[in-house]
Amino acid sequence: MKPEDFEKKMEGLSTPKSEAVPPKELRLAIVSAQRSAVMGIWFVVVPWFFLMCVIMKYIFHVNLGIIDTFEEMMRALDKNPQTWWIGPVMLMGLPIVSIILNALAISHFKWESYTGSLIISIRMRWLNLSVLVVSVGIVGIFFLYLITENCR
Amino acid sequence: MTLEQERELLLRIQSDRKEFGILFDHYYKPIFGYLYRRTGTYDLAKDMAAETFLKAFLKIDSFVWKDIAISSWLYRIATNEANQFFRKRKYKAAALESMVDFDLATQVDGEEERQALETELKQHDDFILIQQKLSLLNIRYQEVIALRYFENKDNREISAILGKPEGTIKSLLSRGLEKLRRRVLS
Repeated sequence: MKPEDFEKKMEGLSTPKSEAVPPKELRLAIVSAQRSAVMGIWFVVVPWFFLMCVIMKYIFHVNLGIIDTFEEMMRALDKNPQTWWIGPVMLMGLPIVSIILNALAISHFKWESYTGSLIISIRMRWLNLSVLVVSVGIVGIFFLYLITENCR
Repeated sequence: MTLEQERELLLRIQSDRKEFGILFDHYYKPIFGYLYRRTGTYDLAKDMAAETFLKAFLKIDSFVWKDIAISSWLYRIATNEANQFFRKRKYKAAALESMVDFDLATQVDGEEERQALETELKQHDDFILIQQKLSLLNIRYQEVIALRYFENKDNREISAILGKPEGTIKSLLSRGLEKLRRRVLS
């Protein structure tokens, strides 16, 4: 196709008209959904890997070797008064941040003063929901572990 | 809306923010349409349109009247939103279908509108091909071609929207068209 023919084709290009009705309200995400999902994945990678290693070792009796190194590292960090906080922050703190970020990314809050009700709607963004579920799972497991360990 | 009417509306908005609703109702359709034709994705266009009007609402007080239509200003904000999206994608090829996000929020609201728009889009094969190939070009070509051939804006309007001289727009259009032609033929 010659340049001039292409230009003519573009001039006569039929485009979709997109007759959209202006919405009565704009729903704006509190935080970016995509960014929250990506950050959430980074935040849960280490705790998820740690959890998988623990499950492999203590439930399926498959010792990958790396879990011993990981456990030793966590023990060393825990004993040091300067670094004791790294373990809890990494295993519990970051997944909690991931939960907050992804929950905000898919929620929309609206206060209706005339009925006195708070309307919460959730956008079904599967990536955010998946990260949210994994994060909740990780926090839940570590939380249960903490409770059972401290109640013994 | 004439320039004079826009000027009056701007003054009214700057003294009473509630008047922004008139601007929103008047320009939502063209701005959403522009973003939809640039991205080819209903949800994305809806989100970007919402961001565009939010930014406009937040900045309307600092808008200084220089005989440039408010619509040009809105198109500029919308263009920046679209450019931001395409920059993040780093010009990766993506089928329009695969660009559909995971967002199913519209199943709750706007489902009929979404289906109607997507059905209409599917009837424009040539447009889909051009839109896909255009998204692979440099942003500066994308914006001028989209405004010229998708929105039927003339060089003067594009110049006002992008804040670039008309000569620059003309040369960007010429070079962009050639690059797009090669992409389409490849």
